Amino acid sequence: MGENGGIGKTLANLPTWLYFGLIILAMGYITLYPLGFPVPITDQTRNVYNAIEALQPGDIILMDQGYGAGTIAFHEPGFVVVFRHAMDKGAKIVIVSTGVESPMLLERALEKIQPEAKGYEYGVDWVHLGYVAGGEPSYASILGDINGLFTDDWEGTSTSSLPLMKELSAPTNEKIDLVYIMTAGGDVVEGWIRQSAVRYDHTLITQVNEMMVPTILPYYPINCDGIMNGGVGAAEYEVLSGYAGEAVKLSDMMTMGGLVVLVFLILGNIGYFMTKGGGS
Amino acid sequence: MADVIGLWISAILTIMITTLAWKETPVSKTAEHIYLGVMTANTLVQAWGNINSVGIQKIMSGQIMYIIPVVLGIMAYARYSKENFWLYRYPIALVVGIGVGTAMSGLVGGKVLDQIKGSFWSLNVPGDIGASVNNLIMVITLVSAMIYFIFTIKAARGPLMTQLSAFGRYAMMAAFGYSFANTIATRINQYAGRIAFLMLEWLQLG
Repeated sequence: MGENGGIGKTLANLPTWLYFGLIILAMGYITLYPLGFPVPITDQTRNVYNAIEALQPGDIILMDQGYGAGTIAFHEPGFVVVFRHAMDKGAKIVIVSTGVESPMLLERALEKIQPEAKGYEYGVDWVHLGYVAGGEPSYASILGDINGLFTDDWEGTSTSSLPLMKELSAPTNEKIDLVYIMTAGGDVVEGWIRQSAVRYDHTLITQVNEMMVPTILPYYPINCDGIMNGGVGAAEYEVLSGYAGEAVKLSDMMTMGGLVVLVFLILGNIGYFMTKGGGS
Repeated sequence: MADVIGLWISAILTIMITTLAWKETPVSKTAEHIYLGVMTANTLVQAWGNINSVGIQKIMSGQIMYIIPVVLGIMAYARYSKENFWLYRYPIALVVGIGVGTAMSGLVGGKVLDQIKGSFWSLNVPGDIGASVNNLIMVITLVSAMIYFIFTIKAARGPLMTQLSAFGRYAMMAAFGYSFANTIATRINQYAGRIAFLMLEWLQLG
């Protein structure tokens, strides 16, 4: 017991600074010297891609850009690549934000997307309506009469002066061809599923952080047609669409960070069984 | 210039909060408090913008009915007064009622019927043995996990049912493991973004 207990105890109680330090070192090294790990494509991400690919010029996407600063590392690359793909298809884009931080983060993403450079005119081809409070009842209002809820856009321009908003007259749900939800809140996707996919049979795709995927999986693929699984999903989408961006660069770091965690999990378990199992 | 200042503030705050990996210090706490302060300020501004566009502006334009939600919103602040606390119950009752009512409209379809429909997997997918096996595993785990939650029927405590119930428990534990792995992946991704920012944007090493 003595020797095993000693090693076991050490393994079971490795200091957290060592754990975090090695993750930081491993990910930092990979940032400078990427290994180019393969990015296999899952059906869930492929379905998101196919939903955008199926859009016809003039179709309207309702995007809930609801991510916050905490998840910007993977939500932003996902948003950027989907927006670019949608522009390639000639779809019109209506952006609402159900997260309080989201509108100011959108400005950052738009600097990367540059819709004007693609000939996308604000108010005609895309609009940004800004933050809306209220949770699920507000989603129902958006799909009922979006102009009744948003009298001004994010910049304070009257929505009645924007041609795209005139196309969305009540009932708005009949003019929406695709709903795309980006969020870090599980209840947000479930709310949109109830109000959009279940009530109006909309095609609904989502990009959520990895820890939310188990919450959304029961709805896939009946009510949620595609799931982009956090940073990995964004990297898959970049590979599929040919827009190599930040997510592909990050995917190597995620893999390396995951491997370090796996090693510590194994060491911790060995330590546990040496002290509680075989050792006692 | 503003971009450079922003870059440095962002980098310094990232490093400050990273010291939490070693232990909680005044440095990490300062970064936390700055973040909370900024977020609270931003939330207040956004909330006011929402009240202004959805309430005040509409009242000013003659849509007088919008005075009702504004008054109800003000009544919500009665919770901070011991004498007038009862006033707070009316807006909350309304918010809960509307929230539940709205959710109910898609609840049965989305949470019950469609999920039952979605659990009908074909056990014989022609030309794809992998999919057939996968679907069989799904059926067994679904049934066994449901059996685990049958507590009150005696017949459900027979040897076969007990074994299925135990299998259901392991299946759920595997699902919890999947959830845990996803949580770790999220945290790693979040920090990968910060490392990439520090090394590529701030230090410009790449």
